[in-house]
Amino acid sequence: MDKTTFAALAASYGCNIDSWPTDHQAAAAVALKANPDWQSLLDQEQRLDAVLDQYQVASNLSALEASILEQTVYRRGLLQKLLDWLSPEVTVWRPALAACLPIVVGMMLGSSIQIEEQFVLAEELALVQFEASSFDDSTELDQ
Amino acid sequence: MSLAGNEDEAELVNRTQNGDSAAFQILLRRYLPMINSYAARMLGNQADAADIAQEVFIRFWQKSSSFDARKAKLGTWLHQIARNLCIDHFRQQRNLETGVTDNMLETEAATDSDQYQITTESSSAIKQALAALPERQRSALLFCHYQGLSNKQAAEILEVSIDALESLLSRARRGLRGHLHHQLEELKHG
Repeated sequence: MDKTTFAALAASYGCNIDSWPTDHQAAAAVALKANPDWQSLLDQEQRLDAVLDQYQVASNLSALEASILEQTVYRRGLLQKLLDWLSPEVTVWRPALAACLPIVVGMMLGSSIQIEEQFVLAEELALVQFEASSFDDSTELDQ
Repeated sequence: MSLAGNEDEAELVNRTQNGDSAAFQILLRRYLPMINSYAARMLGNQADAADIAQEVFIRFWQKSSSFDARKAKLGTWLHQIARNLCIDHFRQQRNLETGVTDNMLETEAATDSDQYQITTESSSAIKQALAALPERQRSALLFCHYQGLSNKQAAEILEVSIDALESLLSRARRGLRGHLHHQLEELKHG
């Protein structure tokens, strides 16, 4: 390996020959042994590697892992979610709320029917009035 | 990774593709730290990095059948997804923010985030120096220096030749040397 290739590899991969491409490692080690002054090329890169290694990432991986599992393998269907939600083991008020649901629906239906009846009654009154007025008109014409 | 490791991984991937959640969990534990640290250094923001890492593994679980273990290593494939998601993230940021230049994708990474956990003052300087690098140079350096990927894996993810990868790496290191001049001088003089 010549000095140019050695310097180019150091400039790309840093000071650690073990992290260079495997097909260059042996040749680089032999070349370095034969040319100890090439060590300066590695020293230059070693300082940059040392600074880069100070940058560590800290994070809560267990929470992230749990969140991923929740959205993948533990993900449940809609029916299962509904059953979970209604489960008395979780809370007592939820089944009670679910039991009240038919009453609420019944009240809503009842109120809507009442409105409809009122509407029908008003419509019938209007028709009677119309018929009465048209009867009066026809009587007047006959006369 | 040893041949035994590869065989083990191929078996785990095969089981995951058949819906085996235990195999998926083993692979998740193996690769989550790598993918998370790549995204964190790429974006400079741990909260966004966690979102990216999460999306990578959700996609792996949902679309594992599209991965062919004979063609690529799982680590390469996962990094490829992570990089694409990071690029999408930069594009979304570009669309959201006003007055941003067109080459944001090439130079942008979050530099100011109170959510990011900076371990030392140097970390902050390195984070800013990395953020100043074009995306391809940054990815190349992250893959080879921090992620421990081989040059072939890094070149495959970046879809470039080995020569082009080495060019990206040397330009990245030259750029960093310029940005981290102060830290390097301190180290030089002890």
